[in-house]
Amino acid sequence: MKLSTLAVILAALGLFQLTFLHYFRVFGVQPDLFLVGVVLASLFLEGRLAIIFSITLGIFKDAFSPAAFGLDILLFGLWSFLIVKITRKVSIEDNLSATLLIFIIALLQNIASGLSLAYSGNFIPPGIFLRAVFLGALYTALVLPLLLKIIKVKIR
Amino acid sequence: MFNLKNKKLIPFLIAVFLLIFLAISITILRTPILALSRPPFSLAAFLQREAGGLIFYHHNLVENERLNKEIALLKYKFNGLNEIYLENTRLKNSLSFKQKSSLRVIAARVIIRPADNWSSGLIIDKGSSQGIRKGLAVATYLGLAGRIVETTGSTAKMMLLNDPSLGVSALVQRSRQEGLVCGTLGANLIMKYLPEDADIKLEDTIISSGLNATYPKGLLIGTVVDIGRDFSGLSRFAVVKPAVELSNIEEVLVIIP
Repeated sequence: MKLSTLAVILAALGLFQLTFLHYFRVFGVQPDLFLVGVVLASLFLEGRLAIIFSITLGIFKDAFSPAAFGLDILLFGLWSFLIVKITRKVSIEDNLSATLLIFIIALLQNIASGLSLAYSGNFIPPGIFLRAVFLGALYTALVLPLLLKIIKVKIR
Repeated sequence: MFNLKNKKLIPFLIAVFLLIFLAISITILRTPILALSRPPFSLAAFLQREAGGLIFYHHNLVENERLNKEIALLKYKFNGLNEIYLENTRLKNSLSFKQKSSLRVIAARVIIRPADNWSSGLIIDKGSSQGIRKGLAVATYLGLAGRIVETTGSTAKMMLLNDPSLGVSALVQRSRQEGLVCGTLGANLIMKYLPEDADIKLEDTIISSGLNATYPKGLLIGTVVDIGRDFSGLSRFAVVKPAVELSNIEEVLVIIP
């Protein structure tokens, strides 16, 4: 996939995430299309470029977040680095493996975001915490195959 | 004038009376008559329609296309008008809030929604050049909605009331019991630090206390829907349903103290 094509897709995803996606909330949870963008960039772009792209996405996401600290910039870069490393050792050739990969990453991302919020002294009820962690990760993971189908791209 | 013989007069009179009787009793007779005549008339109408359909097929096809286009146009217009109607209602309500309130407010529109599940922030289309600055309270005509946390020249970032990092000093309107209302990321808020003997009941109204200079006193926050005891057992908490539908805010009012 060309860099420009991916950039357009990710820009569209970002726009959708910040405007219309709240209409698709299920149990108060919405998928993280920025994270989907990170996985797509890491799977389709060359290593260094993928990491730069992911960090840019993190900057973009944190720019719209009310949080003072840009946790996503760090995490997105880390996930991209890990995906690039993993795909050098293990080939991810089907949508199911990619979905599983994004589920694990979304789970870790949600746990990190939730814990950072909780450790900064904010109270989050355990039910809401678990719902956001697991349901959010599942929802994000399920968006990837759908998106791949829409943009008609197969994992290499 | 009428040369009727007695033999013919009697059947004639009977016939006239019968007609008068039928004329008077037609309302009673109409129902069974219509019921009986319905099947044949329906069949006739059906045949007439089908025949007409076959004969005027092309005319009907063109007419159908034209009407479908007209329906689509009317639907589009109707949706647009409906949106204008809803917006008008909301703005009217906002305006009445503006007129009722002694506070100076700046009306703004939400342009960007939260990016993830771990924060509740919105971005509005008014910023520092319109007089909005960090720390100002944000409300809708229904009640308190949040606080401005960051501004640029033409936009401002606000944190919604259900964000866990936002705390509002509040009190129970009925008993004046004080507490701290915080977000939970869910649909409801939580009012913490209530003493064991706090005078608070279900359906109680929660308002801002005015102790924090950011939030003017008396702004409606929500209604108590549940009361519980803390893990420590030393204090109680109340679950508060916010007055403002936080997930569907489209226009807000930034309060300038």
